[in-house]
Amino acid sequence: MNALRRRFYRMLRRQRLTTTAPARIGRRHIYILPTRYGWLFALLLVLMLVASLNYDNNPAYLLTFLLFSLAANGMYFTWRNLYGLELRLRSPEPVFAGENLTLHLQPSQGSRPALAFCIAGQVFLHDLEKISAPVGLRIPALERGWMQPGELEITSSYPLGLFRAWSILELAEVLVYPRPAAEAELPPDGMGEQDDKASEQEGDEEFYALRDFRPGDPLSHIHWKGLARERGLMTKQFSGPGVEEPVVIDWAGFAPHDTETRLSLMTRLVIDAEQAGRAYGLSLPDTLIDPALGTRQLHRCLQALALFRKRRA
Amino acid sequence: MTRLSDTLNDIPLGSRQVGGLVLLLAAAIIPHAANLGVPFILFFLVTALWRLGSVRWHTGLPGKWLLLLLMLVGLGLVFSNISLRDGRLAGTALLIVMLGLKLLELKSHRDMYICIFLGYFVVLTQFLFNTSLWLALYLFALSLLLTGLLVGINRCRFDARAILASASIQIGVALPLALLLFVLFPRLDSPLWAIKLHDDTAFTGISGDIRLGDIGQLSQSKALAFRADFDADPPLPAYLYWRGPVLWKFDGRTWTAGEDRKPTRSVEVDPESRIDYEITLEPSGQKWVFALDIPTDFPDRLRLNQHRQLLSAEPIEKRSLYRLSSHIRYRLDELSAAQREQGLQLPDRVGVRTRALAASWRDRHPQDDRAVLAEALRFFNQEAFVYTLSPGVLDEDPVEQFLFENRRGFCEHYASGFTVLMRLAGIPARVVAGYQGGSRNPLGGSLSVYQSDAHAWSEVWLDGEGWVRVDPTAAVAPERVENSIDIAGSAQGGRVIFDSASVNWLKRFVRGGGWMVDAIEFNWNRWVLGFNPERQKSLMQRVGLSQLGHYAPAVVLSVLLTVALVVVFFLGRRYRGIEARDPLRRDWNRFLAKLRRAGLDLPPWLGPEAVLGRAEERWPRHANDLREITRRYVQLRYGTLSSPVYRKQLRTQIRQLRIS
Repeated sequence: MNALRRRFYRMLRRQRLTTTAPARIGRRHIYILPTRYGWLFALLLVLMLVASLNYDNNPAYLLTFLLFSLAANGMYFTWRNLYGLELRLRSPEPVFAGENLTLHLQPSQGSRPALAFCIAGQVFLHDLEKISAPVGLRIPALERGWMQPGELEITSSYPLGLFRAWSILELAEVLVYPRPAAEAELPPDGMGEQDDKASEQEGDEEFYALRDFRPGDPLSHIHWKGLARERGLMTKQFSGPGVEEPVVIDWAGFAPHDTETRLSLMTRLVIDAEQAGRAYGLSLPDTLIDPALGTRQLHRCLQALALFRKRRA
Repeated sequence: MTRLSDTLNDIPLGSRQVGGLVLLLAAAIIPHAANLGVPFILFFLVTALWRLGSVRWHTGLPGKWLLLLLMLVGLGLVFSNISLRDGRLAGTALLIVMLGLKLLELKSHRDMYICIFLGYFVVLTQFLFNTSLWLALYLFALSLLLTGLLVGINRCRFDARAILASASIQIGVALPLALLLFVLFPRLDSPLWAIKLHDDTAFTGISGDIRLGDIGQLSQSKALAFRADFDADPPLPAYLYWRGPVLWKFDGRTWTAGEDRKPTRSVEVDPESRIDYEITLEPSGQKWVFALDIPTDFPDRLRLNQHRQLLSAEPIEKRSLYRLSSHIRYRLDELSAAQREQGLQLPDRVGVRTRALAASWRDRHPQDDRAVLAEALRFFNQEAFVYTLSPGVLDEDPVEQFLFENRRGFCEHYASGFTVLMRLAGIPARVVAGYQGGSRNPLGGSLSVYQSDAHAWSEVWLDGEGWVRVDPTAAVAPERVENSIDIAGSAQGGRVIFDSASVNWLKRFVRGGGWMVDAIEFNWNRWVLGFNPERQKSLMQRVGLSQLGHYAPAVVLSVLLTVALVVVFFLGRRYRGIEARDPLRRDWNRFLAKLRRAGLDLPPWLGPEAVLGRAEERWPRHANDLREITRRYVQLRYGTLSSPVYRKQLRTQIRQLRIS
């Protein structure tokens, strides 16, 4: 029975919902079936009809037919509760494995009471009112890499609960960064070489790294060549007193640990370096990222760590 | 699939939902006090209050053993108070007991659904006992609220206004289909299984026998006997004699019916005097259908007996509607020997003075029956007779006492006295009980006939004329025939006061309101309660579908539903909107769909060139085909190319495109 049901579900039409493409629930995306209460109600109607027929009682007929029409129209009202709903998926905030991923859906305007968003075995119930706030769906992110949030099923059995209409959306995958280790220190050997270089570069006006442009940076420090190469607005950083030398976080330095632990430790170091304002680079067996500082560098490094030895699904 | 309903089921029930349910169910059950007796209602109210208390003050609910005990008490109530032979009573009683117990263990949404559904059923059981308009209005209002509650448990927030608005809209939208079904749903001629209604209910109304004083008592009842609705203007009050039982045998105190045979004699009617009307009879427990004079057209369910009097096959135990035609000018021929004998039958004791009076009239007019009749009417008119509701005690020989001593009486006294006198004079005569007149509702135009309009009169056989109606009461109190009795104004024991136009304005105002209510009730009775297979049939005839016979309603219903489905289907197609009106767009969308199916991620806002760019990049092998299609589309859409040939080519190209 369950296998049959699963097969049936696989046959259903689904729409893709990505951050760039909003989805509109149209005529062909809505499925509707009676709920078990719907079947129970049908039984009630049969009993009421039998009683009306047997006692040939006109008000009883009237009540029976009224309830029948109510249920029949209920099918339409339930369908209408989904029909025409437009959903936009906001770009999800980056998330680390082990945390909860929050997907923000912005529904179109319109009053749609009691919509249930079912995703990854969880159900989120919302009354969408005339002006609707975004709907947040929190699902646990377990592993680093591209995560399939799975199918989002939007369901409604409003107003009478006799029918259940649903529509299936396939959500775009979301990148999950590795779980950062609680704390990590730079391996001593990985740093030695770097230290020498750094001491060589010591000096007031010595360039040592690039970072994202921040308002207020002097124009002379802007990396114009990079801008010309369409690499965005970067600011050249120069070594001087009070600025730590750049660091390259090297895969090789965490040799004794297994892959996931190494990535965890490296993630922690990347985050720490960014917070400390110290330029950092990344060295992985298949990737090398030059030292830099800033949000873009952070996400670049974290993405590299997240996708290390993971193929895109 | 079950995930959602399980989740909803786990949401704790709000106190407003539970409280609302308890109150609505109690409101639906309370009118059953009249049908089942107070103990059941008390039982339910105890459980309901218990539940309400637990909602309000968080007091505990009964445990398993207490619940079992309560169940035994409830079942005991059912078995000790209710006769199980009446399925309706027993079923309702059990339903109420079970519903009361269910309230005490109401936990989840599932229980709410079950209770609301059973609530609807309780409403239905009310109709099986009482179909009055006011109860029905109350019960339909309750159904609306129950629907609101159903909406309420399907929403996240319990917003009473939004819920009521939603329920009202839904009921409003459901009404047309409900009415259509009501009118067209095929009805059964006989019940699915034998049922017996009104086992021991007493009815007021004219019964088969008339004891002297019966009708006088009946006249004090303001209960409705039936309503009549005439196709044309109603006849004058003097013609409104609604014939009930025809009574032949008199034992000095009680009139009883004679033998009952099929009518054999022909009747001549004046075709001009035809009257078409409908009557809605209140339940009477009797078989009489009160028609005007000579019924000529009547439903198959009724039959005419030898006295040309309409009878239903079964005692009338619920409000029933009949369409009849009568002729009020007619002539009945022939009187069989047996009937003549019956028509001359006399009680064992007939007083000397009565005999002498009749003999004196006969002596004066040995051959002329009409003259004898006139003498009798003159006697009632000129002697000091009083028309009163309380004639005083008549014993020994009531007829003699009434005619010569007391002289105070009601219509049955006059009819009895007159009939006995006629028989003594050798003229066959009989008493007819029924109703006379009726009150016309100025709003609805219908005629309401109350028990107070009950009347008795005589019919005498005149050679050459047949049976002729003679109303001796009219000789004493002609107003009786012209007006109804004003019961409230007639003091006990005093003379009867008749209704006339000379009522003061206040009374008229009160009566005006009464007429309004009466008109509404009349229409409820006529259009809802009185709707039956006959009406359905005549409706079908009016639409011109009578040749479909018995199946006409079913056929019309299925045709209408099919039409509705087709309309919905085509309306639904319009939901596709722009696509349906723009075939070129449809073709292009088909192309896009093909690319998407093949795995290309195409946001909907991409223009044709951008689509082409992405597709070429993905499938360089098909670049030629893709470019061809895109170019043609762009030309058709934005360029000068508009020939249907090109459009067709584009469609073929898209259809033949195979991407792998």
